Order: sequence, then structure tokens, then C-alpha cells
Amino acid sequence: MHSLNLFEHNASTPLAQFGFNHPFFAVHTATVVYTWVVLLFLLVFAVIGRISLHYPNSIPGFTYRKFIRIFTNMVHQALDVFEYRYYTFIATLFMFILFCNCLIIIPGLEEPTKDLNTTFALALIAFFYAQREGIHAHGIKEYIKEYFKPFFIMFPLEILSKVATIISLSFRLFGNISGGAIITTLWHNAIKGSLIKHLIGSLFGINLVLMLFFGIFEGFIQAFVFSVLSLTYITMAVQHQEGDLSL
Amino acid sequence: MKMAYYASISLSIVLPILGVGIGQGIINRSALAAIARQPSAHKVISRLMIIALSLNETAVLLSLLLGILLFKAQAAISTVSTLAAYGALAAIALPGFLVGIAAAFPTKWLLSATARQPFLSAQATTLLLITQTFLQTPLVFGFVMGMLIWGQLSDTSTITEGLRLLSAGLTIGIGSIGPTVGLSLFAIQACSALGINKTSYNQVRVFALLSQALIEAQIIITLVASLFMLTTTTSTHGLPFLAAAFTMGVSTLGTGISSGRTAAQACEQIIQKPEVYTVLSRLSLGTQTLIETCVIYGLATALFIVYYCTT
Repeated sequence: MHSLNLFEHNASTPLAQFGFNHPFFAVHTATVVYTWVVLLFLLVFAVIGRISLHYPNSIPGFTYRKFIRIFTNMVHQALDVFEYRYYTFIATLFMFILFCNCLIIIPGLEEPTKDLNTTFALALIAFFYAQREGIHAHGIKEYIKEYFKPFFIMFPLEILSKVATIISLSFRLFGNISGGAIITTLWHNAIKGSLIKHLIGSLFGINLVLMLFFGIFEGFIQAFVFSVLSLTYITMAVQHQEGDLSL
Repeated sequence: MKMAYYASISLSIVLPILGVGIGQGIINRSALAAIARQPSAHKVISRLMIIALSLNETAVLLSLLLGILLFKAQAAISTVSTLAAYGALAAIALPGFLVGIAAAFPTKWLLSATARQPFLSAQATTLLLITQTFLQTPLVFGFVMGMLIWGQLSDTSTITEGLRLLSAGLTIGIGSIGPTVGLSLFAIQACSALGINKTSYNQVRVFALLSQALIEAQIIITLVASLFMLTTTTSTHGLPFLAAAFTMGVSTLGTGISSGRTAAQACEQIIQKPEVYTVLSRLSLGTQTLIETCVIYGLATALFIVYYCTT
């Protein structure tokens, strides 16, 4: 039942010879390797997409343009104007998380999002990007003033609610994906043993159902939720101070 | 002590069965009512009904798995492992019971909406899947906690550790009650969208994903507190864990329901007027973020209790 322990990974400490023995410097080997696999898939996806755009009337070309239009519409609907940099950010987040979550459909590979470090890093990126955009839109003075509205007692409250966004973003992805991974692992452990047991267990097709539900469906939903929530946080940071809720 | 242990196993299966039984009854009754209203749509309605029934059964399947695992671990029965088993029971059975009932009401509204708009069955299926997936998440989180508690079952030796595992289960069990009710309240409103104003479907779909994710964030915060309790090792007292469990669990009780009601009201207005979606969704999401701050206070208190009283 080693696989059930969510907080223990195969860790190596490459900096140990320099005196950095703290767990902070440990590297989760499996997570890093699977992330490289994801990056490889993303590269292939991007290259195919770029080539297929030269053939506008082909099926892949149409699919890619349709796919891109979903995100441009999403940014346009949230911000009322189209900003190219938000579109690239949201689409990148979505693609990366989707490929991470769907990696389980390839036998022998595991999702990097099963590791809390990956999801926490993604949440930090989304959070700090939103803050940076808020500062960029209003200036540093207005941004700091926002923490003391309507009066200065609100300062710890605002800080807490900012921290809550990081926690909820990272743990939502982590909890859902690792829950699916635990259930899949349990099923694999249950049918392990003799050949006949394995054969009967595999022929039931529950493997396939688990994979389709947790890998593709749940993975898609979580990737979409993560990117849409990041976009919402960016929107709130950029447009919050204007205060006009009119159309 | 053996009897108490076996009682925990049976209760962890019986309570979800009770909830799912009631829920499936509601789904079947509403499907029959919808077919009676629109007999020509019986194929669409029965297909939706079967999807809803099979999704609703997740509660029983997961609790059955956990029950079997608890039964297999019976070699280590003692007072301590019984306490831990009740923790696993609270983690899976309370959400299971509640989700079984709560997941049925949105389906009821969705089926009656489908009876009015039989040609929009693809959209109805999407709405059903979106809402039901989010309604099952308390269950998945509870199951994860139950599995982690079960993993530590054989290592526990002192009463303090037993109480720690019990309160880790209670945290997620009590903490998921409020958000589950909130999710159900919101999903009822979102599922009735097709029947009231079918042009609002695109807006309602995105809004449902966002709002449910924000309501669900409260369960995630209780999961964080629960995981924190599970990973605490140095402890001298057991009772502070129970106090922290009730602090965290009860703090999501009101906020979950109020967050769900807020989102449901906003969803109702979006259904009436899809063109003001941007303003309404922004306002609703901002309000939900403010409500979530209260849960963060609960989390801070619980973590403080655990950290301060055990070191």
C-alpha cells in the first residue's frame, strides 16, 4: 500500500553534496520525468497544429482553429475586450493541465498533477500573474491601497482571502486527480495476483471506465475549471477598482 | 470491542445505501412524472434517468470498497483501531448519505425541464454531467480521507493517535454537509435553466462550472485541515484534535449553504436575462469569495488548535 501515501515520493537530493539536505531541496524524480513526457506531447501537439494551419480546409486545421476560438471567446466574454497575452496564458495553462491529467491513459505513466508540488506551483503562477496584471493596470500605489479598503482593519482579511485562492486552486486539482489515482490503484491491486484473476478483472472493462472518467472527463473538467478560475482572478484584479457594475 | 468495530463497517455501508435509496426513488419518480407529461420523449428521459442513477450509485460503490478494506483489517481490532474505523466511517458515510439525497433533486428538475424541451437532450446531458460530477466530489474527497485513515489503521497504538484519526475523519465528514447542500441548491437552479429559457444555456454552463468550483473550495479547505491532522505526528493530547475537527466542520456548515444560495439566486437571474451575464457572474463570484473568507478563519483556528495544543 505504498502508493496510497500521498506525501511520499521517490525523492533524490542532487544538491546534497553542497550541504543542502533539507527536504525543500529534494526532487521528486517521477514527477519531473512525467512532466518532461507531458512537455514532449505538448511540443508534438504544437508542431502539428502549426503545420495544419497551412491547410485551412483540412480537418486538423479546422479543429485547431475551433479549439483556439473557444479560448478567444472565453477571454472576450470575461474581459469585454480581447487581450492576446491573457489568451496565451489561459490556453497554456489549460493545455498543460489537460495533458498532465490525461497522461494516465498511457500504460506505465502517472499524472504529474498527482503531486501537490506541481499543482501548488501552477496555482502560484496563476496567482502572481493576476497580481502582476493588477499592478500593471492600476499602478503600485493603487494596488496597495486596495488592501486597506474600506478601512485599514480589512488588511489581514484581504491577505487571508488572497491566500485562500492559492490553497483552493492547488488543492482542488490535487484532490480530484489523486482521488482518481487512488481508486484506479485500488482496482489494479485488487485484480493483481494470478493470471486468471487479472484476465477476468481486465475483461470486465472497469479499467476502461475508470480511465475514461478520471483521466479524460474529470481531467478535462478540472483543467477547464483551473483556467477559467485563473481568468476570473485576473479579471477581478484588473477591473476591480473601477467599481462600475453597469453594462 | 469487536462488536463496535463491526458496527462501524456495517454503518459505513448502510448509511450511504439509505441515502442513495431515497435519492434513486426521487429520480425514478420524477422520470416517470416527466414521461407522463411528455410520452413521446420517453427515450431521452429514460437515457438521462439511467445516467443519473449510475452516477448516484458511486456513493454505495466507494463505501463498499472501504467497508471491504476495513473488514480485511480486522486482525488489529482494539479500542484504538475502532476509534480510527469510526473516523473512516464519518469520512465516507456522512457525505455518502447526504450526496445520495442531494444529487437526486437537481436530476428531478432536469428531467422535468427535458419534458418541456425534448429536443435539447444533448444540452441536458451536459448539464447533468457537470452538476453531478461536482456533487460527487465530497464523496471522492471523503473516500480519499477514509483510505488514508485505513492506511494508518495498523500503525496506531495509543488512544491519542486513535482520536487523531477519528477527528481527521470527522472534519471531512461534518465539513462536507454544508457545501453539499449548497451544491445541491445551486444545481437545482442550474438544471431548471433549459425548461425556463433555453437561450441561456451557454451562460449557465460556464457559470455552473465556476460557481460549483467555488462552493467546492470549502470542502477542499476542510480537506486541507484533515490532511494536516493526519500528518501531525508529535502529539501529547487527543482531545484538541476533536475540538479542531468540530471547529472546521461546523464553520463550513452555514457558509456552504449561503454560498450555494447566492450562486443559485445569480443563476436564476442569468436564466431570466442571459445578456447581463458578465455583471451578474462577477458580482456573484466576488460575493462567494468573501463568504469563503469565513471558512479560512475556521481553518486558521483549527490549525492553531492542532499546532498549539500538540507541541
